[in-house]
Amino acid sequence: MTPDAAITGIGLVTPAGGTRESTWDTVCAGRPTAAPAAGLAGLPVDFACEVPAFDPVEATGNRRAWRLDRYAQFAVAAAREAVADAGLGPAGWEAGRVGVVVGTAAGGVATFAEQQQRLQRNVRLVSPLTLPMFLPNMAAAQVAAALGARGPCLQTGAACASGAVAVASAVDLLRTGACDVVIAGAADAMVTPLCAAAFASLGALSRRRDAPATASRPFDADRDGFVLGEGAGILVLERPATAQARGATVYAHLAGYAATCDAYDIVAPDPEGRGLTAALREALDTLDRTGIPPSGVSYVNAHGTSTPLNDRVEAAVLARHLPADTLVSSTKGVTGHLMGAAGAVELALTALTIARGTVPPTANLTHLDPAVHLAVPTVAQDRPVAAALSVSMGFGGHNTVWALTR
Amino acid sequence: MAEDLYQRIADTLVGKFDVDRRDLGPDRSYADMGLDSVSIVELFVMIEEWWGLALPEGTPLPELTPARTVALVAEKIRA
Repeated sequence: MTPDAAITGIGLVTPAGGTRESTWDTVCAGRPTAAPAAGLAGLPVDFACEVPAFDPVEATGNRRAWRLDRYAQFAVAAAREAVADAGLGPAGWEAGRVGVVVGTAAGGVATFAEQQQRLQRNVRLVSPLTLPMFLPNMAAAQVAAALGARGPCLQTGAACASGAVAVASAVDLLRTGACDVVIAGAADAMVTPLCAAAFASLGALSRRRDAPATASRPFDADRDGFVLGEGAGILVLERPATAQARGATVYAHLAGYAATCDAYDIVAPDPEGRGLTAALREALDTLDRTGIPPSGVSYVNAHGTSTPLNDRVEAAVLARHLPADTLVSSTKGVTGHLMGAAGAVELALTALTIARGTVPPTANLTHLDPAVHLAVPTVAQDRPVAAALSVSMGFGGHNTVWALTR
Repeated sequence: MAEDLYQRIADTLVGKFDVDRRDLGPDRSYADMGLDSVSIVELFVMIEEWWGLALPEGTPLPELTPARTVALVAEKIRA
């Protein structure tokens, strides 16, 4: 069995950097990005991981970028980088054969909140752009418009697994032959007062206000919650034969995917990890059919949110099914939790791990939780990685596992 | 006041709506200057917010010109 798709382009806009390379460098250096957020001043949790120095006009190439919500600006910026990286563009592709799938957990929530305030002041102040900025499909639609992609244009929503699910939908479009190229990933911009207050109300956020840089500490014994982040990750996907025929550089291949739902609780993972176990087994089985057994998996980019419950459940499932020397890290120690964008950004980082032979570390890990029986590197390690996994989980009980190969 | 308002509209057309300065004119309609229908409504939301007023319902916005907008706002402020 051959892999379903080749990753031929990557674009990243994250708290770790406004581009693929700046993000990769910060992630590999293990430099945390959480800091006080001006927009959250006065709230119970007033820090986050924000995209640094983002100029919407420059990043999107659109002088009217203010007509896009921040989450869609991130998506367009990352998509432009990914498509340029793949050596593709409107001049060289058949537009009707190019699809776009961009997931999001929330859509344009900052726009929604701002317009709600304007409505309360005076109904006449409500912008006609409210819906074209807020709607969750608009990141995908703006990416399609920016790049002139005229094939299927979709949005996926599976909370913090949205990005992983978007890539699965994209691979389906390649597999059925509906598209020759799919631009796929996810974007979110949820560092807003309402979202921060709501996550704090759930008890999901770290309260480490005195030392925000150390707050996102996946798998650490002293972790106390996740850190809200924002950004976008976009991949260019092609059938392996198409990529090979045009001589494209391939970061990695998408070799197996599985998704399940816990059907257990809307916010907490199943404490037994049954849904994640089922997804992991299925992804490993698919990988096995390409000739790589579970012992061939040398790296896992874990969901690793830094919440007490997530990391414990996820670590137990991974430890049961993978060899003891498989390296497992959570890049959220650096980036914070990018919500729906997390799955896409982390899939991209996993592809870069394979392409570059460097395993990124888990930042802020000083005392491994004694309940976590995994090999978690705290500094970047150079080693060849032939096969790797990327795990995502989301509110609603979503579990996804992607298997990537060289 | 009329000159200030015209200037503010002109600056907004160029700065926010990406109208080429060469296409600007006090007597050109917003539609002729390249604004789509949503942009024209957005422009009037801004104008109403700046001056804290409500323009008459049913004003045919796409056919309006900056000069006519200035006159409408001046009438409203006097009223």
